Amino acid sequence: MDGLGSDFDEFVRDSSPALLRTAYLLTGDRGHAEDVVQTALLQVARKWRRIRGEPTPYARRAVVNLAKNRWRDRFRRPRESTAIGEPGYAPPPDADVLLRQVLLPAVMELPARQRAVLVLRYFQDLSVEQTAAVLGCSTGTVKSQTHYALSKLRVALADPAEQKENDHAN
Amino acid sequence: MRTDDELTTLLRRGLAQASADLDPSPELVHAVRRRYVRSRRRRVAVAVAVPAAALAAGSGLALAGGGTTNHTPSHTAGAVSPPLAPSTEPAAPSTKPVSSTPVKPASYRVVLSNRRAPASCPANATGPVSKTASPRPGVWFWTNGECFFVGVGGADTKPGDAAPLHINGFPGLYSTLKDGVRTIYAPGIGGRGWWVLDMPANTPLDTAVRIIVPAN
Repeated sequence: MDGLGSDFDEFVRDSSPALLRTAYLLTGDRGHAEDVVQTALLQVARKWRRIRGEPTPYARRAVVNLAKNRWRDRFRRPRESTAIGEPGYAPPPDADVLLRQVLLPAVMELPARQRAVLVLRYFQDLSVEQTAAVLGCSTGTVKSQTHYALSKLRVALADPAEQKENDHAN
Repeated sequence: MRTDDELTTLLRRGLAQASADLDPSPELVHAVRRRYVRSRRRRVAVAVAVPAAALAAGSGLALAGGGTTNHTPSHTAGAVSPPLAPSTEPAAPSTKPVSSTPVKPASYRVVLSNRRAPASCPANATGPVSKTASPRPGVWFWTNGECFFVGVGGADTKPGDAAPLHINGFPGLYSTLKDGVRTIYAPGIGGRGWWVLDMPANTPLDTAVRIIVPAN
């Protein structure tokens, strides 16, 4: 026996869809997201006895940290062409143009920490405190990173005419 | 300008839509369990191997630890003792054997290493297997006194003239040989894309593949 009970299997089955989607939104690459989730769950398995009461926060944190480390092993795997915002990415048929062509590429352009804050808060629906715990930073940092990230998205979504007016006003 | 509420509503919808069609592989549980069992075996092997090597070494291995005067490792029994000369002197009073002190692998280090890079190795080949980014991403390894460099890259497709390559435990490999360069194509994780390993034709293929490609 490997020391992991059936509750571990249950945890993997229940949590892996959300972890995979989070990893995908953080990395923008499906293959890499699958690797990240598998490695994160391996880390969970190693700590299972200690964290089995509340494994989700640990798993979430592992996913975020592994996704952040993506640059380290960017040469280890073939480049894939299905990342969000790249030409090969096929959006869901009902996605509107704004989301597909402007918002998601703008999210992918954000620095890793700002992207992580947005994904944790607006995809995983975590509170500021929970987000801070996952990222290992203060709640103030979460709030400021959210503010900067939303400001950048707002600029990306602004009408060119509106943007021009603002430029003139400034 | 959009308000924060409008923006976050749009963002929630966008993030949900972008990831809606993603579902983990049904094999995920088994894959994680397999990796977990393998990593546990490795840990056990290392924990056993280090003290065993120390026991076996006797003359070729020095133990370096803090406070050597008081440090009495339990494995001195393995050391070769000098032959006893025949003597008429009365025997020294017998001493009780020193009780063994528990020693952890972390408490000493192995100072003798017989792993030296062959002279032909470049300076950045610092171990029997070492990754490098220079002259390009790849791996140096040495075997039988010779150094080999394997370039590692990726491709979306493999060439049509690539022939299947059979190495036990590594299904789906293909290979080409052109101008003295062997190129091996290994399937990417999840069946997307190919790893591309290129190396001189005389490189031991089996070793190169086992070093770089995860076994199935």
